[in-house]
Formats: sequence, structure tokens, C-alpha cells
Amino acid sequence: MAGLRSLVVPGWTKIIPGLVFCMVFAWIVMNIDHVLGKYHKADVASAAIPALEGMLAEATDTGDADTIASAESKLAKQQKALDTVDGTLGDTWPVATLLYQKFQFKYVAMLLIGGILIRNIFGIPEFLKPGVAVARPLIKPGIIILGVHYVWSDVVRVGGTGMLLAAVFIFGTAIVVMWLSRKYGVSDGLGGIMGAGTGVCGVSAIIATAPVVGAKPRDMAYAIGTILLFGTAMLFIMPYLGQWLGISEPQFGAWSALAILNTAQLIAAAEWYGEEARNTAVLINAARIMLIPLIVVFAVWFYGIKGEGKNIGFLATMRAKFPIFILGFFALIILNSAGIAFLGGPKTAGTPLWAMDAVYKWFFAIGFAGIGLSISIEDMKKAGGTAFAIGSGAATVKMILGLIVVLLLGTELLRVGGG
Amino acid sequence: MGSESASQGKATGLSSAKREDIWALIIAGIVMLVSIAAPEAVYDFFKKVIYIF
Repeated sequence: MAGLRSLVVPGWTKIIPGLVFCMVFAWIVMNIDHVLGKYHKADVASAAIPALEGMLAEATDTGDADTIASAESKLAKQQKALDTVDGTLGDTWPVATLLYQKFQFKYVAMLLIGGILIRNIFGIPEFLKPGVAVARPLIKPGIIILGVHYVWSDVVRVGGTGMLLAAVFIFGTAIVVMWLSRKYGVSDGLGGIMGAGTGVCGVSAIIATAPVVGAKPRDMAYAIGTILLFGTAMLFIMPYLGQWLGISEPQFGAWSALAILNTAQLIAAAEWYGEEARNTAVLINAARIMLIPLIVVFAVWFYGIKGEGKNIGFLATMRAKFPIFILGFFALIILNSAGIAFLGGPKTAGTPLWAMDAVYKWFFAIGFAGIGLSISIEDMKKAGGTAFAIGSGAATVKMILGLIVVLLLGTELLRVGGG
Repeated sequence: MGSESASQGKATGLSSAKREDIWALIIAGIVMLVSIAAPEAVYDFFKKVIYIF
């Protein structure tokens, strides 16, 4: 009974208005995204149909059965896209294509930019703030459900590569930041959480490490401000940078998982770039966040912290800091890989895993609404000083090295096949 | 994630990050149960009904 009671958020009724606000905001934006996407697809179809009809006519003349079947299937798909908006051949919707494809103005961008504008221009009333804060972690059930997209071979190949990369990058960054912080006279508390934050997983790692290294609330505000400022900047810059560099979706997914420090922000950036990018990013991030307890153990060792009443043994730290929700993600991968007939798969219509696949995006949307509405320019101004220079410098170097590594690895090793 | 009041869980025995994780597992479990019970209805709702335009 006590265990159940501890699951209830203190003052839970206060979260309802803000949560409903985020849900309504997400719902409106998802509908706009749906309409834009529909008209963009129709615009593409209107241009593609004549070419496909030509291809079909040519294949019919030569009797090429494979090309006929392929052209007919593509033609049917494009015709359906046109019919969805009651369009006819020759109709065009260039604005939809411009916004949706050229500017990548999809639901992620609308929720983040819209949320930031609402928060910083109109402000969020006090009674909505608790619910807005709760909306952000709703990305976690979305991540668990996304497990239906993967099979074990993905985990071994992409996750294994990701785990290795994450370990090298995490500990490399943490060691450099903690060492530089000590060298330039930054306190152990601030240097410790900045090292953990820039190395692993941003805010979660800062919170996990803070009590161990004895960080003060002001240190936490500085470190979180730095992480959020860097993450927010990267969230908006990286998708366009990736497009400009012409890197593939799986490569972008791996890059964002290595370079962006906050789980929610990296998933937002990868989702913005494309589905394949998101699939790779989520898997590598799952490998990465499992390393959070190890970074706490590392901080304990680096700063030579003794017990002094704190339970900071290896097993106790692993138990306390392990992100257990990721076990649900792996449980779904096992179920999807096991080939259990009645559960089906994400591409088998009418089955439970297929139905679950339709749900996860809504959790992401509500979570992204929460992120956008939480980004306060005032909070970011808290970032500053030597720790900020060291933290953001290390994060920038990590981003550049991450890009080089994913370019060297290529696309195939990082692609999630799914099942 | 998990930034809100890390200390608030102290009184109740669970950190806010752990509470978030457990709720995430519960919510995903509920989604799975409902998807097992009525897959077509879940799919239709989240892919069609919820989009009004």
C-alpha cells in the first residue's frame, strides 16, 4: 500500500490543468501537421502521376511484368494521396511542400517553436506550470512503446555500436570536463555535475550526480542552464546542418544521440529529421542512458568522495540511478522479436503491436509540447562563467567528433531494420 | 527529463525520476492491454478519429 502511495505525485490534482493544456496544444498541432502532410503528399503525387503513367505505358509495350507491377503499385499509392484531398491531376499545393519538406515544418518544430513563443511572449500562468512539467516525461511511455519497431538483430548491431560509441564519448567528455573544471578552479560540485551532464544525459545525469558530488542548488541551475541552452541550440541547428551536409537518417540519428545531451531534445531533433533517424537515435539513447549509474560511480571515484552517511556503493548507486523504464522498451523488443502470433508486428494490420505503433507519436507530441513550454529564456540566462565555457566547449567538440565518427561508420551499420 | 523537484520524492520513498519511470511502465502496460483487447479500435482512434480535418 505504501509502495502504491509513493507512486502518487504529491498534489497531483494541480497537474491536471497544465497536462490538459499540453494535450490540447499537441492535438491542435498534430492536426495541422496531418493537414500539411496530406497536401504535401498530394502535391508530390500530382507531379509524379504523369511520369508513372508514362513508365507504365512503356513497360506495357515491352511486356516487362516486374516494372508493370511496380508502376501500378506506385500509381495506386499516388492516386490515393491525391484522392485524400479531393484533388485532380494538375492541381498543386506548393506552400504545403515548401513548409513540410523544404522548411521541415513538422509537428516537432511547431510544438517546440510554438511552445517557446507561448512561454516567452505570453507566459505560462502559475496554475498550468505543474502540469507542463509533468508533460515532458510522457516521452518515456512513447519510448517504451517504440520498442515494437525493433528486433534483436537491431539491438545487437546498432545498439552494440551505440553502446561502444556512447561509452567512449561519455567518459571521454566527462573526464575532460571534470579535469578542466578542477584545473580552472571550478568547484567540485559544479565541475562534477557539468561533467556528468555534458557526458551523459543532461538534466537526468545532473540530478543523479548532484547529491553525490555535493552540488549546491546554484550549481545545478548553472549546469542545467548550460545543458538546456546547448541542447536547445543544437535541437534547432542540427536538423538543418544534417540536411545541408546531406547525411543519411540513420547517421543523423546516431549523431544526435551522441551530440545532444537531453533525451527529450535528441528524440525531438531525430524525429524532426525523419523516422529512420528517430529509430536509430532512440536505440542508441537507450544504450547511453543505461550508463548514467556508471557516470555517478565515476564521479565518486574522480572526486575521491567518501561515504559520510551517503549510500554511494557501486551496487547501491546502480540500483538507485538505473532508468528502469528502459526495461519496458527492451521487453517490447523481445516480444516483437519472439514472433508470437497473436501479438503480430508493427506492420501486420489488426494485431496488438500494429495498434501500439499508432499510439507512441501522441506521447511524443505531448512531451514535445511540454519541452517547448518549459524553455524559458530567463532560465537560460543562468548559464555562464567558466563552467559554461568548459561545458559548452566540450559539448561542441563532442558534437564535431560525433559527426566524424558517424560519417566514418556509414549508414548501414546504424540503420534499424525493424520487424 | 526528470528535472522537476528531485527532492520531492524523499518524503514518499521514490525519487521523481523513479516515479516517472514506473508511471511510464504502467502507461505503456495499459496501452498494450487495450491494444490486445481491441487493436482495430486503438488504431482507428489514434490514426483516424483523432484527426478532425
